[in-house]
Amino acid sequence: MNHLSISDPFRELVSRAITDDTSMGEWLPRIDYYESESAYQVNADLPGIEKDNVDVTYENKILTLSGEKKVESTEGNYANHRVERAFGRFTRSIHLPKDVNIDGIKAEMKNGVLHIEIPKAESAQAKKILISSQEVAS
Amino acid sequence: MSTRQLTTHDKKHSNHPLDLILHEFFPQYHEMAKPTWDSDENRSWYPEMNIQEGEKDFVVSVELPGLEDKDVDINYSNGRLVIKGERKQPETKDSVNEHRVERKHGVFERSVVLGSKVDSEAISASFHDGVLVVSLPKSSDVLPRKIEIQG
Repeated sequence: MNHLSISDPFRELVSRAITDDTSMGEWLPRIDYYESESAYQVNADLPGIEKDNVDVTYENKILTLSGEKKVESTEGNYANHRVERAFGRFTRSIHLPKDVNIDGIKAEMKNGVLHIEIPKAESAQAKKILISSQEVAS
Repeated sequence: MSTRQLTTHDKKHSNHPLDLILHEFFPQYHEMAKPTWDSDENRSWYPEMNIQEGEKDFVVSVELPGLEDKDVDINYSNGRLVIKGERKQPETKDSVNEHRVERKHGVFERSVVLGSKVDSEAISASFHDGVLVVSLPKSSDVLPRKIEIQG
């Protein structure tokens, strides 16, 4: 078990209970997930992780973030006085109920935060229907 | 299930539904769940921190995703290292549904007492991928010294 976080066990418990899909023994990055009329937006806190160590996949309306946070290597012997940060593999999945434009998905990593923009498919966006008037022939 | 309103005494605690339920069953829950390392209970964000001690230095690392150098204030005085700053709420457009909000925002402050054996002039800090690493070299008079036996 590579989960080392001791900072907030209750939060961890809640997260495990409500999250869509996780396996035990992994840590859970915190995510925000928004929906606007035209797109979904997902932000994930992934501090200390380079973009090469993160995978983003979309399949069957499920967006999955996975990867690994490696322990920073330190030279020499160090004693741990406090260990709150979690390391190791992580997986988070989110169900996006509406059809999306797969080719339009964009992901960007900045300062340890992953931003993903997922545009909805044209067919999934709300459309205003014009009401046509029909002249009555006299 | 009915959830009661917390009393005035409990007001400063979380009103998250799960907290309320746990409080219902375990009146001591808030005391137990309260972070013990900082007296300020009103802050909602406690960035995760590791503290390591080597032969020659202390290394304190803090996870501050989304922040940059300018957002963080690091102070060392009287043997206490204080790291504080703020992560601002992202601006969201109108007509946006928040389906899930787990990331923490707002002001934070973490501190640690390392004693007076740190060479305060030599403290350095770096920020990379949302992780702040502060290196605090020990002052030379506390480093282990090999004593030669004479005679």
